[in-house]
Amino acid sequence: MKARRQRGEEGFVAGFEGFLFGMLLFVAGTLLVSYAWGVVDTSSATAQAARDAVRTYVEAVNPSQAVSQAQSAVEATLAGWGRNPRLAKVVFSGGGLRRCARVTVTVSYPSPVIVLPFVGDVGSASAVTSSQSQLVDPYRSGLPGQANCP
Amino acid sequence: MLALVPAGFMILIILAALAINSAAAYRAREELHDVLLAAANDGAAAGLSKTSFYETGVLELTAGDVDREVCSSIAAQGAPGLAVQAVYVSVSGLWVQVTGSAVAHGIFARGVPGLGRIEVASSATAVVAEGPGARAAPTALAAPQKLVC
Repeated sequence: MKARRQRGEEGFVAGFEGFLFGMLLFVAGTLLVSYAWGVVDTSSATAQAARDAVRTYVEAVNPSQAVSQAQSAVEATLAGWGRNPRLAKVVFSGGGLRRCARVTVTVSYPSPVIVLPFVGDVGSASAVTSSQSQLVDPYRSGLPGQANCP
Repeated sequence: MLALVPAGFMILIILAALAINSAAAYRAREELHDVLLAAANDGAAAGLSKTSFYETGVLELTAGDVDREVCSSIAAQGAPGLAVQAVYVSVSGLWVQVTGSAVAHGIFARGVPGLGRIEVASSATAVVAEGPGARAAPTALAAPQKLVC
C-alpha cells in the first residue's frame, strides 16, 4: 500500500517571498562586502605607493630629479598592484631635498565600486588616500652644506 | 525550508564581513609598522650627535634628540583611523628600537564591542651605519622608555 503524497504547491507559494528576500540579501550583501574589500585593497596599494615614493624621494641623488623619480616609483607600485597609475593623484609637500627636511608624499586613488572576476574594477567611488613622511638624512652624501637639524 | 534561505545568506554575509574586518586589522598592523619604522629611521638619522660627527668623526646617538624626532615623525605620518596609544623607545649604542600600540576600527560592526575595535602592536628597529651592508643587532637592547610626546 502506497502512502499518498499530501504536499501541494501552496507551501512553495507561501514561502517564495523568503527565497526572494534571501536573494536580495545575498546580492546587497555581496555588493557591500565587495566594495569594502575594494577599499581595503586600494588602501594597501596607496600606502605602499606612498612609502616607496617618499623613500625614493629622500634617497634621490639630484634634487631636480627627486620628484620625477618618486612619481615613477608611485606609478610602478600601483601598476604592480594592477591599478591604472594615471588615475592616481600624488602630492609632495615639505622642505624639499635638503638635509634634515621632512618630506611628505600623499597618494590618492579612487576605490572601485565593485571588483568582478575577469572584468576587473568597475566604477569608481570615493578616493582612498595614504601618506608617508620621512626625514632627509642629515648626514647623507650628495647634498651641499652641513646637517642643521633643529 | 525556504525560510532558511535568508538566514543562510545572512550567515554568509556575516562571515564575509568578519573576513573584511580581519583584512582591516592586518592593514592597521602594517600601517602601525610603517609609522614606527619611519619614526625609528628619522630618530636614528636626526638623533646623531652633530658635534661628535663633525668634530671627532665618531657616531653617537643623543637619546633626547632621538625621542624628539620620534615624536615629530609619528605626528607627521598620515595614518587616518589609526590612533597611536603608547610608544616606547630604546636606544642601545647606534640602535634605535621603537615599539608601539594603536587602536583602529574595523569596517563592519563598529558598534559591536570586541568586533569593531582593533588593537594592534608592532615594533621597528633602525641603526646608524656608515655605508651599505647588514649590521649585526646587539645581543641585548636597553630597556625601552615610554615616550610622552
